[in-house]
Amino acid sequence: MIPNAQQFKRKSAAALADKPIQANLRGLYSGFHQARLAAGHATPDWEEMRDRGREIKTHTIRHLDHYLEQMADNVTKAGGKVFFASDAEAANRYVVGVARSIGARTVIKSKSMVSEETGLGARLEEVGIEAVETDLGEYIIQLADESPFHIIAPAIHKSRQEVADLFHDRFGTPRDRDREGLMAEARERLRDAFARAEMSVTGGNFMVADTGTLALVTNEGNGRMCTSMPRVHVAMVGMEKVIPSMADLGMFLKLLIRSATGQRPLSSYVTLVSGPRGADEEDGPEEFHLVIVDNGRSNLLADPELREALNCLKCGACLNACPVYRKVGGHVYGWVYGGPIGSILTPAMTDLAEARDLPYASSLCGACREACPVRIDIPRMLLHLRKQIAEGSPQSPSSKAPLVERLAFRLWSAAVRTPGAMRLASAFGRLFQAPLRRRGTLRWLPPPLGGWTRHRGFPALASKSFQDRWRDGLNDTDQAGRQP
Amino acid sequence: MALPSEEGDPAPRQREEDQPHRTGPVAASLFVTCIVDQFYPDVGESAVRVLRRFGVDVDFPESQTCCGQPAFNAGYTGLAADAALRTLEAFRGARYVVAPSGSCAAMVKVFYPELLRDDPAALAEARDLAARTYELSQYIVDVLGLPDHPHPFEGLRAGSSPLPSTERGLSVTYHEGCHLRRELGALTQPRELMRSLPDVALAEMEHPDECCGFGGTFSVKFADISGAMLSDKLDRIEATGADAVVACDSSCLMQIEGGLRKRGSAVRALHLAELLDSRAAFERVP
Amino acid sequence: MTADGNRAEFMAAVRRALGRQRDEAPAPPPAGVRHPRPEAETRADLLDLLAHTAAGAGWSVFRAKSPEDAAGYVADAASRISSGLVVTSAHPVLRDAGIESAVTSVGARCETVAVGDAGSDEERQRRIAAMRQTALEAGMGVAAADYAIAETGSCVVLPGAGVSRLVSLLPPVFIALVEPGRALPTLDDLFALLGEGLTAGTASRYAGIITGPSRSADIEQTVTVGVHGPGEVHMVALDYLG
Repeated sequence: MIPNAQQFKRKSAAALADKPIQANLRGLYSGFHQARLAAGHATPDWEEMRDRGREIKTHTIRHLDHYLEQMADNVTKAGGKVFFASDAEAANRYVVGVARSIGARTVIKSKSMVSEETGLGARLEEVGIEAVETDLGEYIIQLADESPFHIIAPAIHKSRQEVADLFHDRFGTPRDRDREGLMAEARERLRDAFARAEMSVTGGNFMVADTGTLALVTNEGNGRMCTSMPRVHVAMVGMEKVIPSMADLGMFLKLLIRSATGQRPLSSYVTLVSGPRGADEEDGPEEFHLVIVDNGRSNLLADPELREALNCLKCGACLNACPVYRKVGGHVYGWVYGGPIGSILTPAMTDLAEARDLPYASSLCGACREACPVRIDIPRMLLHLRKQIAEGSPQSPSSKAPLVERLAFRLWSAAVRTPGAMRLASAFGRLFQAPLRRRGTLRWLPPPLGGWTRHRGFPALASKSFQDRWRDGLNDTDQAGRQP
Repeated sequence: MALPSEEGDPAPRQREEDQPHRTGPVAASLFVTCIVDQFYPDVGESAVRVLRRFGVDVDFPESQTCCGQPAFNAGYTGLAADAALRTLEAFRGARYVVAPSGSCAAMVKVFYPELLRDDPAALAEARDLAARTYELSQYIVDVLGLPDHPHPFEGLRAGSSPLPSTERGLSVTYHEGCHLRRELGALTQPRELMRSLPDVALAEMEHPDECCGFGGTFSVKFADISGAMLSDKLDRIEATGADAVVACDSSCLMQIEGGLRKRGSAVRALHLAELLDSRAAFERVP
Repeated sequence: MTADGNRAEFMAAVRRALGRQRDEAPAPPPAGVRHPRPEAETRADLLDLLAHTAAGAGWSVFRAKSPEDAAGYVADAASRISSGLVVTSAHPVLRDAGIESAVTSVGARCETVAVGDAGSDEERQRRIAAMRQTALEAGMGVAAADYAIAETGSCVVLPGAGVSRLVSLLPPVFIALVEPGRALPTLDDLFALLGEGLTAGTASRYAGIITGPSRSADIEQTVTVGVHGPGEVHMVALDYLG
């Protein structure tokens, strides 16, 4: 998938005007967000779990090479095959190669954000292999030819009616199908695909290094289907998903699930895969391939300021908490990952110049960090990216901030250098504001400040600053606080 | 104390038992902040009066200008560092630095040490300043201390309140500034102060922790998103039926008040300092 | 195509990003939070807790006082399915409880699905396809849980000889029989067992942890059950074995 984040502003205007999208976004706050808060309160040692989770992830990422080697060795020992893919092309080439080696005509996919990154579905279709998404949300957006709107709820922007219309257009089902009816339709069609498919591609929520185990979390059961039905199972997993030990899997599952949906005690299905079918087992995939993907993650790894982003469990809590995401939704972010974490991942993993708007698309309110199960300091990293843009980054010179902005900040800097300079700047300001001023408020400002006054008045500069009032006698006020 | 929004990690109270208000005057320097200085000087005056009523000897270092946050938030760290160094100099030697702004106090307390981390001498000074700097409500509650008994605002005498003092008193709702909540961990202090006012009733809005949409240049760069966030905030403010919305940051209030006026709302936007000043027709009872 | 082909190159890039030349064994990772064992002093307490959490997770829980009791419950459920076919796995506990004859007595067919020793791969694929077809047609699956977790109300099913992955997955109704001795206090206990077993090479390389029915909230954030897996799940605790 090619990043397309340049149109953030234009697309966000459209999203703001889209009533169904706005209604569904509001639901994220009353739904997932509140459920996460309740789950946190109900979990003993929740805050300590978050601290330990953060420490363990930080440790693991710091020693990523070691744990990936351990993971790969253990999977290989159990009869699985491990492929390390440096980029999307290498990952897709490998998966297509596996599919061809068994003559697969249909591949079923369980939700995998990495395969969204690499555009695997389109690639398989290109070479004549049918690729069917099996997570209901992913299935819906595949039918609609869209990208995921939300990390864990990809079709959350669509109303029941929109889904019913989509099914009607594709399958001729009645437009008045209710949710159960739509789900039953999808179930039947997907059962057919499950039965046909020779191969599955899944993601993975955790790779457990000390046992070589892949952990898959689903609610629908598509993870179990994909790891039970076809002859070959390929898991495509971002390299940051490794944790050192099975002993900590329970804690990480709870951190992930409770932050994602607020579900307690667990999601419906947690599936653990440590290799292909055992010799005495009745069924299950005969081949297990683990594709460990970099695809720009080493950019994050190489920058100590951004490395923390690799602690991400992809739970989506920061999206639900973010007041900006909840206004514009996932599609405006232009790539696979939306919301606050997407504003770090997209510029860092793809192209800073292309995604230049994203680090600014935040009021830096910090709700994301407060919501993150492993306390990733997203605002700090957004500031770091802004710094790269303001100062110009050697890796991405074309991302540099526009000259007019840089000049504006030089001007600001000169104006606040001394109280005298500030007084002078303020005098100029008062001069210019005079014609615009109505009862202490400016109702219209020229570009680029005009956007402000579309939504609210701007206060006029005070006729006498605090500095001047202090000089003119406030300092002599009596201690009781009465003005003289 | 029951909080409307329980999440977050409030910083531990740093009540300094060795700095009691009871044993004599305390000296504090006001860091008025550029936005108060230029747009809301009345808030600065209120802060001075309130501090003085608490027995604080208020001083105003006149070389102060701006903390540098606009540049810092826009990524111009060099320019921000220049501003930081000037602020360090302006408040050198001050026992306490008190700002009527959670955001500017957070800039000094949290972001200066980060901004100046590569300059050991400046870093040491920044850490020192950070330890001495307080947001107004935190300073009053955590450093000066609200005495448990007698009630601090007993012994009132009639004040010259610009706000209506109706039969039912004044109903206010509180907006948590993002930096005050999430960088400084102040959830309780502003509320404690409001609750201690005899004729003020606090009506909590839904999600008081949700950002008002200001975010500095964000509100200009993404004016429409910011406006949509503001609109939600205003709906929640109005739903409380409060007479006024109170916050500890003039920047949030600039956004909120601008929005309230635009929609013709009767709700007032007040800085906590103004509320304390106006109700505090109080003097400390010795 | 060779798997592992560019492992060295990939690792070199990771180490470069970390500013390291070679794999350096790290100090042990920080310890995670283990959830405290629930206050269940006896096995009966543990089962009570399991029954409580499982009900909360969406299982219909039944406490069987005798084998007949358990078989009766299963037969009752079997009598409600329309397809008339029940698939089971070859767990001894099913045989001991007389599940098959109970199901048959209400007019349903009962089939233990397995591939067995197929000889050739061709034959094996043929048998798998047949087994899959049977499981797809079945209205209900019955299997024994290898473990149950009191903390989370989960059943753990491990595949093995005579135990297909499909019994607990394809039919719209699933019944898990839980022997009291299989109940573990916490999720951490399960992972400790699996961790040891996998390290020693003795544990199953596949484990399904099932916590309630198959669910989706992908349309309008409203929960719908029975998407891919069973929408109706029953946990039958075999108290009489306690």
